[in-house]
Amino acid sequence: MNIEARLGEIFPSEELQHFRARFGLPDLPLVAPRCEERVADLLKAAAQDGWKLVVLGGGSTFSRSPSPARADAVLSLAGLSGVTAYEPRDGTLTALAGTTMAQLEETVHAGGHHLSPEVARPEVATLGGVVASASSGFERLRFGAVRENVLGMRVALCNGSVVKSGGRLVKNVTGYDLHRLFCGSNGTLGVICEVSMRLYPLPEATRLLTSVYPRREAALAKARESFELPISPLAIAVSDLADGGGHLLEIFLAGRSEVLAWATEWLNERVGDLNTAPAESTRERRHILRDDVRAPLRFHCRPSRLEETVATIERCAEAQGQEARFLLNPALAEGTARFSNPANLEQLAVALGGTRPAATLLWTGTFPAPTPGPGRWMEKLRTALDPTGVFAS
Amino acid sequence: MHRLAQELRSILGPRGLIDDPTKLLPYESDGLAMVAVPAELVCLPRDTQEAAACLALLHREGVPVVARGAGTGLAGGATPVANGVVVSTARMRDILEVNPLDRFARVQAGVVNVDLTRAASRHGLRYAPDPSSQMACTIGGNVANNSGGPHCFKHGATTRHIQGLVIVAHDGEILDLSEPHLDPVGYDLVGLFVGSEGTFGLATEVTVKLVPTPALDEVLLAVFSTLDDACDCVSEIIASRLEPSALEILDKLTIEAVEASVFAAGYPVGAEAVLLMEVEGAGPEVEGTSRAIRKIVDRHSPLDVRSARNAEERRKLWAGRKGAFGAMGRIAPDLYVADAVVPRSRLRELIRTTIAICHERNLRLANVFHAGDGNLHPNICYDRRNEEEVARVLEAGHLILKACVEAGGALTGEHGVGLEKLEQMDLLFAPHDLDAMCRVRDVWDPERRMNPGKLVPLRACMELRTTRLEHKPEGIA
Repeated sequence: MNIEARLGEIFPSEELQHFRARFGLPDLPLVAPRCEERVADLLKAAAQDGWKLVVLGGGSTFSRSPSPARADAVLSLAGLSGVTAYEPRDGTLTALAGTTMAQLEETVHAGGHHLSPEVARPEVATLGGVVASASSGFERLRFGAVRENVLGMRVALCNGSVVKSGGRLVKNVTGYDLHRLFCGSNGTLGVICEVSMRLYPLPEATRLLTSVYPRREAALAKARESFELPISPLAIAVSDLADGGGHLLEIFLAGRSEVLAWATEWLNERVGDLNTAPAESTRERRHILRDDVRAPLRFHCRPSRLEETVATIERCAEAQGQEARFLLNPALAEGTARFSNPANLEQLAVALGGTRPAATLLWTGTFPAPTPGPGRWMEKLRTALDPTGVFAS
Repeated sequence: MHRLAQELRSILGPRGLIDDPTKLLPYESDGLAMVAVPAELVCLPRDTQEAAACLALLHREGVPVVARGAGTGLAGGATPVANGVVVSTARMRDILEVNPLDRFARVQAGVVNVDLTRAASRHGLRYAPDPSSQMACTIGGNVANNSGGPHCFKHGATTRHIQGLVIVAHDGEILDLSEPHLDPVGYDLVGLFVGSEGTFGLATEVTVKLVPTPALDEVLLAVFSTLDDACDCVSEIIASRLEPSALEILDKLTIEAVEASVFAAGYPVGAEAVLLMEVEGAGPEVEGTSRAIRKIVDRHSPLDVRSARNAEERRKLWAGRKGAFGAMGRIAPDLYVADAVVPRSRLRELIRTTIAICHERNLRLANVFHAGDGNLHPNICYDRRNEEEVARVLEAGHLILKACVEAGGALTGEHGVGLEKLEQMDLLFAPHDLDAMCRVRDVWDPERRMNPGKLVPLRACMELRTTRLEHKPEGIA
């Protein structure tokens, strides 16, 4: 019996769809279960029949992942949607994995809370997908990485059992933090069905301060001076402007109005004259920075090695006739690079790898290979949790 | 054991092994004093290489291993196991690197928490997690238990501050994950390891994140005529989405113990509860948050609310809180410290339940707890020589945990499961949840020799040489 026929036996027609080829995957049958039990049914069938499943959230970051060698069906979590519990008095949120970030933001904003991460395309990105890909947000500097805000989750394992790790409490060390393992595992260890998140107060106001410098080094030096600001900004960014227009320093502040006024004065005194962007421009730039996920190269390194890393990438790009443009987050020492000839990056990737940079490079469509020691332990974990290889990788 | 001792001594040197029964006595329990198992050998490696050689030998010999930091844990995580060996990090006390530019430090696992904070403070930085035992507890122990502390309310528990580890696996393999990465490359092995209570392996080096020392901190003390008022005040502060850096409650018995001790902080004796609060950050941020907090406090009928006037007053108010457990030695020979967590909106209700459970069993109870995190610490006074009283204490502890779990809470907020809460894991987790934990544990330690009999009850799984609680409350299988 072919896979479509078998799926037709197990699932009602409204849960069966067709996945049209994209993300490097071919046309495939797609199952969108509407409850955990249905997810479990699919996993049991996959284990029994030897299918390989690709787990898909909203697909907002899927294009960054490498294509699996083999996939027989797509498990979409779009049908597993809804808020399980929003507890405004406790500052926690629990929701099903297929709920979009936009829906969750709307829910918690009404209660005066902020849900981190603030990611690209929130109307498409799902909570489960964001957690599975460990996509941290635009405002990570203030609120931390996504894995640090996950309080617990329910995960369907390859044998169909749905297990719990952590809980809905802001503090809890009962049992192993298995949710840390699933966070960032890109659907290779289990299917995240429900996630509990820590919430933050929704800032009363935001403000964007900017300045343009002729040299990148000067913009980075000014950014470093802003690190001493006694409150944590939402983000600090240094980006290359088009056509040699210089280098833009942006500092996004959030908080009570009087704190923003004080911080603006502090920054103007210490860092130099900064322009306060109009509200419309602040929103627009926030969206632009938030949506910077399509750059072909992301990287992170130690803060002290940021300039060296940027110089190495720039040098390698130049050697191949490419011009590189960067968007840097100097406080976290991460950034993205875009290139003048995006169709021809393979040689550049090889050349950059050859320089042994003191940075982690994440090219679209690849995951960096862990060094052999940790890689072996990761493989052991994958084998322990998915011994029959149900999850495509 | 004699031959094993000789071989271990050849690896660790004469000062690296304890086998003298008198000198082994301090190792027979940790802070969970009611459970004591004689330690047979204690290894004291000086570094990762010695620890690896030691664990490789113990692997070949099939000997169970219990890792130990300072032994300040309160859940029996470092209690020895029969026929096993204790590996202590007490001689691994070097601060290997403090990097102010990249804001991290690398330390050996036996470095005492407060020593790291002191080293970082020279650069205007600090290591944020500050367990009450920070004068003695080690960073390795903090990693094992994912320890908390008052300031974890704002800064998060240990796991949020660990950027890398060097781990010695059960068979002596060294897994070097020490380079600090913004995000893990592949699965988050470091995040998974933190809080594994010595059952995955031995952390010998730790890379920690350092954060700037706040520009300003204000410590407020609110005094209440009832514990209910203090709890309700905290619940309202949380519901109002305010962000102080710490919210701690001490009840009457705790206040009396502290004020009669060397930790006397100026808490008003006679008050039913005090709420100790800290706000940190920039000037207007601190002023605004303090103002909003004071308004909430005023709605809960405080007897008094005041702000520490200077650094010395701030230090004293915190010294009282952090010395509270020690001070309680004055009121009872032994203390059973529970560690349940509850939803922060239900503090009053669960504290009342806790008091009722102890009252019904004629037990003296002192409450001092991380109210902002909903992390209760009911401290039940007892004398371990009184078996009948010990049984009542354990029964009360079990019922408190059960009530907290039924209210949506958890068994432990920062002390870990260890031996103490092993039997209660079933209250929170279904068999298949525990089975998944076992599966992951078996990856790290397929022979289950690392801290056996702790953290995960291994029902159907064959377990080697486990220890069990000597006294169990009625109704626990």
